[in-house]
Amino acid sequence: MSAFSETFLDHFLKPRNVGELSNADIVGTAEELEKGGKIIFYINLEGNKIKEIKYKVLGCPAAISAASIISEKSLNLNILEAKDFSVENLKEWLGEMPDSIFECAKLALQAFHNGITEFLERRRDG
Amino acid sequence: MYVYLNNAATTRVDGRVLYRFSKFFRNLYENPMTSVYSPGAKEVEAEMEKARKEVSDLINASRKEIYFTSGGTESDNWAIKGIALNHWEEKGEIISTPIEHSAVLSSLKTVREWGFSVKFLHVDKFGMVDPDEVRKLITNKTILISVMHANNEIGTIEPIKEIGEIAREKEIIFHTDAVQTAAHIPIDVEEMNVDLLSMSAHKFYGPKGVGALYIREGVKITPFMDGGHQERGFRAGTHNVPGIIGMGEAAKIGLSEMDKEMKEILELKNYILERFEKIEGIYVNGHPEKRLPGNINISIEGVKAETMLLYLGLNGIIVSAGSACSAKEKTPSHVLKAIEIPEDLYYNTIRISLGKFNTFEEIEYFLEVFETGIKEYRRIKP
Repeated sequence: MSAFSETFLDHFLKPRNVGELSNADIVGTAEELEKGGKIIFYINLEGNKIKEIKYKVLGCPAAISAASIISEKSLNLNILEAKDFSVENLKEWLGEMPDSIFECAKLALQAFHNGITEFLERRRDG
Repeated sequence: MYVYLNNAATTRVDGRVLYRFSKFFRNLYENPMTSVYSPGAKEVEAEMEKARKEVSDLINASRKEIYFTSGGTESDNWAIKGIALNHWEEKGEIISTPIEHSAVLSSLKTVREWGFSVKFLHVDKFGMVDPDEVRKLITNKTILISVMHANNEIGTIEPIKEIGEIAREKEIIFHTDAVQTAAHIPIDVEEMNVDLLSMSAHKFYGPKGVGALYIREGVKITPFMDGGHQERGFRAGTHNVPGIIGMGEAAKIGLSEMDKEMKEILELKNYILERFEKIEGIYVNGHPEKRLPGNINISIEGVKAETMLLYLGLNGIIVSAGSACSAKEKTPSHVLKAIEIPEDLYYNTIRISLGKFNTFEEIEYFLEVFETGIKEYRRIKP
């Protein structure tokens, strides 16, 4: 499959950290209603460190690979660093792919950010 | 293993076709009948006419009613635009369906811009047209009815004979896009009362780049391709001789082996459907009986079509998807929309189209991989 990098395909075929965490510190969701994609991240913290991260994903290959690689890269990272994961990071980690396919990868990033943002706001306000 | 299950898109060339047409690249390369003084040209001409007869036999037409084109798309364009052009002054109405191939739909869009009106028949949840509705839509302005013989996505075979009877009764020209059915299921233009019929060689184990438009004798149609006098002045352009010869051979094989092919493919398909019945959340689209022997179109709950396509592809299995969420066109398949499958299944739909070269071994392998893939990707969903 020359359109995709080995890393992309590896994460697609063997997604890491799949699962759920009950009573998770952070739950981040993103949904793409038109095409029917949905991702939920579950994160448990120890202080500011991402101690555990799991996710469930229904989506295109890029959404699956992106969710998997985000979970791998963010594990044991400080949440304040992880919140800065960007589209460029995703491109770098997953390698080249057609733009239209990359759109699906962004859904995973969105879910991740949604969770962290909401958590940080809650923490700041509460 | 490489398992090709996308025969509705294109097919492998049969070895016998390859053998017969290759000499027209090597030494019999002259144009047919360019010169009465060239024995080479005469021989090519004779061979081409032999192929023309083979193609006409496929549909019970006469040889001179077959006009060679560059393929199904050109044939569809010619049928729609050629009839419209023949009614340029008075314009008129065309009746068709929303599930036609894009070559027909785009041609209809163009003739609309020229000032013709187009009325679309309804299709039921199986994609089937009701001949009675055809009768209801006909007016004294109707100049053409175009209904495909079978749909390329969901495989439903339309009631062409019944529609043809109505068209004949009302004396309206009737075109059918038989690109998916020619050489796969029986076609008889007399029995079906068809006036124009499109076919394409690469859909029945012939070469790409060649097709035909059947034009019933007496039907008036404006030529689409202007230029030289090939095809009795109706379709200019140097003949794709090797392609035409290949098409003839493919048609001949298709006709003589049709029963065998249909039976074998149906067995494989029924086996696949039996296995699918054991998996929850798989819905078969299209008519349960009146469908192309090799076509399976399914919507899968809990897994996106593209995920299955990539997973199958990485395991050497090729199928296709009705709507690709990463496709450049952001709209879902017009066929799936027309049969009103639930919107959340548009992007969960794949098409498996079997061909005569598929084996039981390949199907077993496909099912193994498919079942594993469904399990794995359903496991990870929210």
